[in-house]
Formats: sequence, structure tokens, C-alpha cells
Amino acid sequence: MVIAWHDTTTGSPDDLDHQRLYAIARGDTSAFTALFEAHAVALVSAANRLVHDVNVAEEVVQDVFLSIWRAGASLRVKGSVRGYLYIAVRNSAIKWLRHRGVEQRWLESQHFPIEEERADDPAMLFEASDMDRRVRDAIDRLSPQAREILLLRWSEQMTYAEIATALGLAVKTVENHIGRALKVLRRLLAEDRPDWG
Amino acid sequence: MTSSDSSVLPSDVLDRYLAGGASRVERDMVARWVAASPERASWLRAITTQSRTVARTPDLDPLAMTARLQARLAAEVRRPAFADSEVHTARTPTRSPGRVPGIGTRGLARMRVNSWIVAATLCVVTGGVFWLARGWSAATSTREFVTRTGEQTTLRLVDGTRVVLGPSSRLWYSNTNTRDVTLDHGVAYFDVVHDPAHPFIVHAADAVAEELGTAFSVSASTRDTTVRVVVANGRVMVRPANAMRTAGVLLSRGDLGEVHPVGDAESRVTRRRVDLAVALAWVEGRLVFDRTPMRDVLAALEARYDVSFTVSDSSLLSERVSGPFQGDALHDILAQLAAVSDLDVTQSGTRVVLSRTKRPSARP
Repeated sequence: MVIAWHDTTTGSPDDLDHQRLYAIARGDTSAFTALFEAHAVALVSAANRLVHDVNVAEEVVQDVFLSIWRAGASLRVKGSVRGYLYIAVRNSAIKWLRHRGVEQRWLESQHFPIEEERADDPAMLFEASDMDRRVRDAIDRLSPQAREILLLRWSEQMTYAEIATALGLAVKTVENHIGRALKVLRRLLAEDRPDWG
Repeated sequence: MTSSDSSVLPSDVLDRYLAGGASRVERDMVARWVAASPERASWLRAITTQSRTVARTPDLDPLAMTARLQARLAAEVRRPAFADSEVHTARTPTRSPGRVPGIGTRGLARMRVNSWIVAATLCVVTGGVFWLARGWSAATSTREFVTRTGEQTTLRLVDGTRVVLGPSSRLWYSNTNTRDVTLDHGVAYFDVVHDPAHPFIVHAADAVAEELGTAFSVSASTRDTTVRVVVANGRVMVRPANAMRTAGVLLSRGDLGEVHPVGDAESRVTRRRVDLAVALAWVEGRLVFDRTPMRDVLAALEARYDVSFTVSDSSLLSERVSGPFQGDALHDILAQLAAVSDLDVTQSGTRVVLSRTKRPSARP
């Protein structure tokens, strides 16, 4: 199915996604599956960064896709489909967090112990080089918004416009965050560290 | 240590490189800049791997996730594949005058007809409202379509599939998210709107016919349990219902597939070529036979006319009948049948008795 899609397309990945949406509106389940497969890992990861629970993250993404399926022809996506998917997943994850906040306050009022989870992969830390650890620490110390922008840019390789759509920011804001993040990361290099010369 | 051309790397070039959007010239710039210092190399590698590690949750299985999404789509959405089909009845005029039904199965058939007419009317009047009210509900209900003797009707299912339901036939399905229909008895012609994700499957007696983009007819005789599938277009997979393991027989245009019951063992499927003009003549309301066994001819006539046949000699049932039958009146048809098959035909009311023509030479 996916191969057939590529055969009929010469455009960018986003043109491909728009074609898929068009097919989904007409009830094409294979286009629906293809759209999900193309973005599932990145979207579930993005949701997981917000909800810190892989199962919940997957459910959040599923909800978004099922609502796309139900919307059918009434769904209009003007810009980047990927940007649209991110913003939908983010909104859905935030809604879940708010809902859970309500539940959690109720649980706390009932004096249930809330388990605090720390999802650090020990194996990963063990294998990481000194530079890896410093880069990771620097990324961790960025503001959540700056970190998200940086990840969408360098890991998901989105354009500034796509990131702006996905996070509801101005393109200029995205650009500024990237510039500042690079400056921070460059300071990890001896040559760019002002105090070490 | 660093040469002047590699010591300065603009941040925007670095950004485009990391985002996979750098030009060839820019990639060369980055390569030269990295080559000048081992620390730069480990720094760039760390950014690439760490941004990816932080960005991607480990151990996500895309295939498993897709399977779970599909399961939810099937279980949760549960849009009935042809919820509340429209019924466009294009009834051919009843060939026999509406007699007072007798007792037994014919009376039953009439009762079904009445309920079907009511159902069809109801659907035409309230169809749209009905569909909206149902929404995504998972409620399962059964829809049935019954034609009486001499009646033929055309149905349009919501999935777009056109069905010509021949005389004395009963077709039903449950409103689920699959496209499974069952032909209890009679004959039906399906012009299917293909959807690879939702195969259109016809169950009939001991057979299962799955369309693969196609138009075909299925007939389930009441006289024997052989199910016949004729393919007008595309391909159909026919398999015995009791043998899910058997791959079945793939039929294409012009093929007749017959599923024969063989005791308790798995049914046998045979395939042969047929003349489509003959095999699908009934769709246009014509009676045409081509070396058709007498039992099927009689079943076809019983479906059209309010009569029941009795044969004096059961071997008659296996004899073959060929040729187009002209005219609509029952007595014309019976006269032609008598002529082509060398039979004596005796009709009294709704009973017709067939016997071999007694010839002086036939008896020693």
C-alpha cells in the first residue's frame, strides 16, 4: 500500500500527507494506516515528553487519529500536515494532563501515595561519552519550550514554519530559540568557552 | 591549530546541517570544520545522537502501534458497513396472479414478503433520520430482504453495492462493521464496490464467496445444497464454509464455481467455464438454460411461478435442459419444457407432475 503511494507521488512528504488526508476523507483505511505509520514514533514520543507515560502517549495519538478518521471530509488542513498532527497531539496530551490533574488532586485528597517515576535509562548513561553527557545535560537545562523546538528541529527535522504551527508560535520565536540553544551548546566546546579561552 | 577557513562556522549553517536541510556547499563547510578538531567531531555526534535520543521514546514498535490503532478503529468506530441500506425496489411485475397462499413454506414466504414491504417503506421514509440517530452505536440488528415468487428487486446497500435479488430469495445481514451477507435461498447478483479493507463476503449454504473487486451472482437452490457462483467481472474467492483452512478456488470472469456438499467431509469446489449471457440471463428477467440439470430448472420455475413440481422418476432431476424459454405465461413455459425434454406435463392447480413420455418402443 505504502509503495503504491510512493509510486503515484513525486512531491514532498507533506504533499504525500495531504494526498493521504484526501484519501482518508473518502474512507481509505490504507491511507489512514500509512499516515499513522509515517508519524507514529515521532508523535508518540512527543506526547510522551508531556505525559511521561508511553501507554498514555500512544492512546493520546490514537485519539487524534481516530478523530481525523471520524472528521472525514470535514477536516481542513491548510498548512503542513505534520505541524497539524503535532498541535493536535499536544492539545490532546495537555487535555489529558489537565484531566489527570483533577484526578490527582482527588487522589491526594484521599491520601493515596503518588508514585514518582524517573525514567532514566541506566544503560544509556553508561554508554554515553563525556561529551554525550554534557550535551544531554545542556539540552535538559533548556526551557521546556526551547527543548521541544530543538528536538522538533534536529530530530524530527521540521522546518521553522512547521514548528511554529505545531507549537503555536511565531516563526521568529522559533528561530530565536534555535539560535540561543546553539549558543549554549557551542559553549561546551573548549574553543568557544569564554572562561577557558 | 585551526586554519582560518574552518575555524568559523555560522550557526545557521550548523542548524540547517542538523535539521537535514543543508546544501552541498554547506555540508562541505561542516565537514571541513569538524575535520579540524576531534572535539568538534564528538560534539556534533553528541548533538545528533542526544537530540534523537531525547526526542524519541525508546522501544516504540511502529508495527505494533499500527495494529493497536487498527484494532481501535474496528472496535470503537464500528461504523456499520451498510447500516440501513436504501432499498430501491425495481420490482418486475408479478408473473403469477397473487393467489391465496397455501399452508407450509409458501405461507411463510408470504409473511416474510409483507414484513419486507413494510421494512422497505419504512426505510425510504425514515432512512436519513435513522442513520443519524444510530451514529456510532455498536447495536447489532439484522436486516433482511425477501422476494416472493415471480418477484425481482434491486437493492442499493449503503456501501454502494448493487444487489439484484432474484425471485423467491432471502438475503440478510447484521449491521456490523463487516460486509458479510447471507443468501439463505434463491439467487442474487452483486455488483460490489471494492474496498480491500472491508471484503464483501457472501455466505450461502455450505459456501463462502469473497469478492475481490467484482460483479457476480450467487445461487443457493432449495432442491439441493449446491451453491453456484457466476463471475461477471473481477475475481471471487469461493470456499466451503466448513473449511476455513482450505484456500478455496479463485474464480474469474466467465467462471462458474460450484460448492458441492460431500457428506460430513469438506465440501468440494469445482470450477468450469460458462456462457455469461446464459448464466446471468435471470438478472434481466430472462429464462435461459444451458445443459442445466432439471432440478435447477424446476427450482428456477418454482421461484418464478406459484407452482410446485413433482417428478414421477427421480432420475429425471439429473437430466439436462438447454435453450431460451420464450414468453411469460406458465403454460407456455411448461409446453416448451415438455417439448425440449420429451416430457409429459400435467398441471392441476399449483401442482405440476412431470413424467417421461411413454413411447411404445421405450417399453419392451
